[in-house]
Amino acid sequence: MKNFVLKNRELLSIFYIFIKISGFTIGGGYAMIPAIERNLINKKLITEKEFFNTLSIAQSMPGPIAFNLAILLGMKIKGLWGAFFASFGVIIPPFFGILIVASIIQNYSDSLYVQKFLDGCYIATVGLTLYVLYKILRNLKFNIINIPLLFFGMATLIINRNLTFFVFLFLVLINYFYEKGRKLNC
Amino acid sequence: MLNILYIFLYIGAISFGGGWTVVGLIKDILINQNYLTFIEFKEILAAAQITPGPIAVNMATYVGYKYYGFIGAILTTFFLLLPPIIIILFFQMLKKSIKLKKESFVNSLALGTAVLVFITLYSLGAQFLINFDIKAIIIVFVIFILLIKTRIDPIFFIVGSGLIGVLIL
Repeated sequence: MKNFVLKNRELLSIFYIFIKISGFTIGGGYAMIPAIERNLINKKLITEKEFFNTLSIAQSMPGPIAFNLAILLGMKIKGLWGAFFASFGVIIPPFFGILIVASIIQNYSDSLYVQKFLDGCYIATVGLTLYVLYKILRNLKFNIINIPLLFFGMATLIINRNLTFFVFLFLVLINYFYEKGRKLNC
Repeated sequence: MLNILYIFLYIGAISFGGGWTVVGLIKDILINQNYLTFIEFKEILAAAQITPGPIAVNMATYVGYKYYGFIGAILTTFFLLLPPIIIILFFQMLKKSIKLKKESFVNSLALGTAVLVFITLYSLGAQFLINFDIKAIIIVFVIFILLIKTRIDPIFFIVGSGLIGVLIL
């Protein structure tokens, strides 16, 4: 057992980090992003730049963002087994949590204190999301077309949320071909 | 059973952007097909918010459990997560054969991500600005600045903010 623990220290530490984050982050995926970032960087399992690159890739795939992030980061740190442990860590707490909580939710949701606590958690989620946005913008390399694209995308989505995926695809492709073309020219 | 698994596979495959986009999608599909009533939906949403983890996973687990018990819960959750798993494995295999300019590609994805995160922030937080909710706005910015300046684990901010909520909201 001790041998196993020593050999697989990183795997267990990945599993532990993700189960802890998933188990304590109330309010869904976006609240989990800074928690994952902090824990992995503090443990020196990944660098800040690697983290935000992976976040972009996780965003571009379908499915819950926290789950995508867990698989990709697990894969990056420790290959397939890393991906396996990270994604299991993320899934276990919500899976059992909802089964327990859903059966007693009515008793909870009427309590004023529980409501206020949830409102407080919700506000924190907004703060965490603001931080994620700030970090992404700081890691972005700006050029002459992506600043207008950024504002164009934000404005379009405020008007119509249904276009989310098309706007995302449009921005990524335009910027990619612009940057690629420019590099070929010089 | 097959139909419900197909629904979650479908949701998993088209839920780009994560978080609240998925919630809207689940609501439309499951209520339209009579798997959930609107009241049930609201209860699960509340349960999902006090339960840890991604909301879409909570929803899939609950619906699976309601109709087919524990095995159902495992299957709906698994089918929801199958599309991203397949895509990641697929790209992992193709990685060597596709030649993308990696730096440009990552930067372009980051641009798209910035817009998605902005719109999530907007749908979560715009109400504070519209209602001019000073307390909430102050808490948001205090947390934001503490996140930049310190290395505190964000879990403390969530629990702390919840406790502040009990005291002053």
